[in-house]
Amino acid sequence: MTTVERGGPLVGRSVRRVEDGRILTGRGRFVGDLLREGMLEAAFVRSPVAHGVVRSIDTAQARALPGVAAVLTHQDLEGAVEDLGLGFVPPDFLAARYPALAAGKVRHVGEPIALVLARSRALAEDARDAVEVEVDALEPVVAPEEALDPTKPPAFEELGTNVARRAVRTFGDPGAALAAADRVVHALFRLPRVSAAPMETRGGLAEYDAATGVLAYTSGTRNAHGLRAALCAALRLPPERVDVVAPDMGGAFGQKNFASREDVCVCFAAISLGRPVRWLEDRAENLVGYVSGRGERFEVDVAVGDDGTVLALDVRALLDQGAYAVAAPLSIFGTSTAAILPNAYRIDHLRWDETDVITNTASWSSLRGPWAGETLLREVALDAVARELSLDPVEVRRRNLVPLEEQPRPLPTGMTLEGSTALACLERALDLAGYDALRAEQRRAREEGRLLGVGVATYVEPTPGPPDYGAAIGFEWPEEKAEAVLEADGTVTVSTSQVPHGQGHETTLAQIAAAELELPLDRIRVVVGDTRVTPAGLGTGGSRASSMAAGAVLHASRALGEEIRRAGAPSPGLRGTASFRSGRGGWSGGTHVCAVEVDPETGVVSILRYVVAEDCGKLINPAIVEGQVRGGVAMGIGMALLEDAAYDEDGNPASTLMDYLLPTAMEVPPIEVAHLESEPLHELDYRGVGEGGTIGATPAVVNAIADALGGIDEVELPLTPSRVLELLDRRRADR
Amino acid sequence: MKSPPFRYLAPSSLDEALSLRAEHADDCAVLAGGQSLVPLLNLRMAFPETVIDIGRVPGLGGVRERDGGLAVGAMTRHREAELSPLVAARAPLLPLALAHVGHVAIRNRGTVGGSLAHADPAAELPALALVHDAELVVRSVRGERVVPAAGFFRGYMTTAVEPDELLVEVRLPAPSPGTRAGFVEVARRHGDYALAGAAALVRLDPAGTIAEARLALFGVDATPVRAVEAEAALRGARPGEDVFREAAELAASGLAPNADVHASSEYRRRVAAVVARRALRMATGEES
Repeated sequence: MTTVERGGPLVGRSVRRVEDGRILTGRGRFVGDLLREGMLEAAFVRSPVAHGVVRSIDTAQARALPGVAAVLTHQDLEGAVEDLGLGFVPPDFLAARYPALAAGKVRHVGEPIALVLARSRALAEDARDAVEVEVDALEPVVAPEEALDPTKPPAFEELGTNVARRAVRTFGDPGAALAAADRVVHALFRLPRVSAAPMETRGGLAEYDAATGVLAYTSGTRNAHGLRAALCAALRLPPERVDVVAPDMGGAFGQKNFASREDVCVCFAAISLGRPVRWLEDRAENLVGYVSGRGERFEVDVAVGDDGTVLALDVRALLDQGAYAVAAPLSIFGTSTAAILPNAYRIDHLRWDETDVITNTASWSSLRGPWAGETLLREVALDAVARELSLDPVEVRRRNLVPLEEQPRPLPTGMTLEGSTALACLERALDLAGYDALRAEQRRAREEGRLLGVGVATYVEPTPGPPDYGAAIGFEWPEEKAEAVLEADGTVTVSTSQVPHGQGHETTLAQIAAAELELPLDRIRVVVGDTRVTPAGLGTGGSRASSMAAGAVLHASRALGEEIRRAGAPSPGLRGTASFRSGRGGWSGGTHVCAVEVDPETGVVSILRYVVAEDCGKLINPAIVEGQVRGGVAMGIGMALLEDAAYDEDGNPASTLMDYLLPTAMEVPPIEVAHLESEPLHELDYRGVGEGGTIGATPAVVNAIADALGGIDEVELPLTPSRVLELLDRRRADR
Repeated sequence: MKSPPFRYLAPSSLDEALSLRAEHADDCAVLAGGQSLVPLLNLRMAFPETVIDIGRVPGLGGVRERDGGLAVGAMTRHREAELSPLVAARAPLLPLALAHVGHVAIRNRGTVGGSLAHADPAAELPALALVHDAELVVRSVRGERVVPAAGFFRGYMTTAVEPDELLVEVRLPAPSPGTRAGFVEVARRHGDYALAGAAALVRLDPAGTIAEARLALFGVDATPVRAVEAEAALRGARPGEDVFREAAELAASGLAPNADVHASSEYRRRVAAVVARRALRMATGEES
């Protein structure tokens, strides 16, 4: 055993990722790599219309095609498969349950209607195209505003409305603050539905062993235990008869965290046909028939003093849930968005008026930084405040951000702000970007008729957040569990409920365990994503779980170390277990500074400079952190400039990557990142950073464009060249 | 996203390819670089009964000099043309334009002939064929025809190539000495199809006035457009912003661009004038 300082140099080092060897040499094992004898491949028949009544499904022709083993419809599932729906329905939320395959009604384009099982995917698609579905089309509700219209047909007749929830919450006394304000600045935001677009789409291999009665489902999921529980409920199987294993995964970015209708159908087919069934979703299905995120409309009034002090926010939010409620209900995220909105600022009064609506579109699901609307609306509104008051937007932030000396400080929404270094990140980012020089360059460029803009965005996020986070949003994330076991060969197996899909947990959690146990990194093996051998939890998400898991792994490793010392010698089978949620503080944050040039004749936006100063406390693996920040920024840039599901009036969204535009290496500028690594508030003060890049980037880019244009009254994303040119025309007309 | 079934044929000579093309004329697609056809197949937007892969036919690729100009074989990969010193010397517009065709990986496979025969209105090469007054050589079992570019692009993704014909070569004439190239394109992302693009060739006479100007626009109509009125206005004029602006307005007027999720028709028409002006400026010695 190599002697290494406890908590020593492994933590904080950019060690090469353990996962990379196999993944980069093509030896990763993704669902697409798995083959089984007698395996059938699946293809789903999907609804061509956004809203309709299914009159008939004729599968005779399809079933007769070569290589086709079966074509299943809802009738085959009836009596054997339970309807799906939300696991937990908040009391003020309207949600309906629905069958795994459409029965009677279809409610969005791409909804699964029938399942074809064939010898190959190509043959399955031939048969899919031979299934005849008769649908009487109904008027679809596509734009979320339409869902407010009571004369429009409800997606679910039994609910009688397309409004799933209306909640008005008041924190402090926003009415009084607005009345007393020197000025009220108004801003409007429309964010379209956007796709997480992971490189690897959904998929699963279902195998049923009739001898043992065990269903094994190998699927790209970031919540193995949750998927198992849902499959058990849907298929009426006890947990000991269902195993879920997550293989290598090609990303999720918010997807893959619940049992989808396709998962249930594929598993049922494997049981029913007695053959392994594999399903590989294609890109069109992922873009059209699965889930998408954002889809928000925010109207905000900011009450300010003439000196730039922000007194209150009044927000009317319209959130689009899509047709079917899946996973965690949208309302939880709406509540989180409101809870986080005051953020690192002295904003003590907030009115949050939220309406969640049902539309005939793909289901809403989380997408990297699902609460990020709070930072977008706040940071862009603050710049509007600055323009209104003729102040530098940086000055408005300096006057309103809570300095460390004033913390801990309660947010009006119930969480405690502690350890937020937002001000320090701001100053660091401005320094790194050369903010004054950028402004000088902007002035020079303006004289030449060139439009340069500088945008700043500051945020903190509760990852994992303070101990009162759960109470503030009415949902407590369960404690993360970890176990460390000493094996006969002297290695240590660390098991966690985390299911990494790009985050590098196999490496970072091993770094923590290795440092604590004074072992070389290659003597630690991190086991993930297997319900047979990992502890239950909510899996990976929210950037909270990883940080919570890091704490649990540290404590579990420490407990194992104590067991070894107590036993006098390292004997195989010794183990340490631990649970952890969060301690004080738990706020990660950063400031993004972005400089752009807007072509005044074409509206094309070029990003000239991009700087991030972030603070997630002590870095476990700096290279991984930088990867997360850069990837997050790329995604945020995408949402600011390019990405749009672009539903047409019939409810058809973009179905290929030629219409749904993702940023490529050519669209993403070099990103300079500085790390503040503030002192931890307690030993387990690991903080998440997976989503912050996205949260800060969209508002930084929007602010930069608004700065170049002299203001944008209604921010409608993405800011395409066409839209930017329109905004420029409007500005010129106003003068 | 699997292709529908088709019959796959891979001839090993041009004669064999032409007789197969004649035999299956009523329902076949030609596979060259595959960068357009394969996505269409996998998206099940095309259902040809037969696919004829001409990748094994010798003699269809390569760039050679011809009468002071160029002869580019239809199977020449974009990347080869982009990097060819002969092309750079005799048709400098080509490398400028090809840099905007997808990305290097796409250009390694996509072919000059394929792009011309596919005739996407937002593609670069059809506009270049038009602005050069190129000649497109098509062959069939019936013989060989030479079609001038002006008559080659018939309508939306429709060319003069008959169902039993193959485009085998594109010929560019010898450049006039002193001709400079200008190329400007606006796209949502680098490498995407153009929202509007312009290719210009300008030659000044010794007194500094415009002796010859050629201007083609793409992405702005069902086919690439040769801006003949603009060219007439430029001839004999002294280069300058006002002259370019007027010519660009002439080029853009009368265009009926498509509207789609990426840009409105009005945006494309408006930006057509901008790219035309900037391409002209580039072709008269000033970088845009």
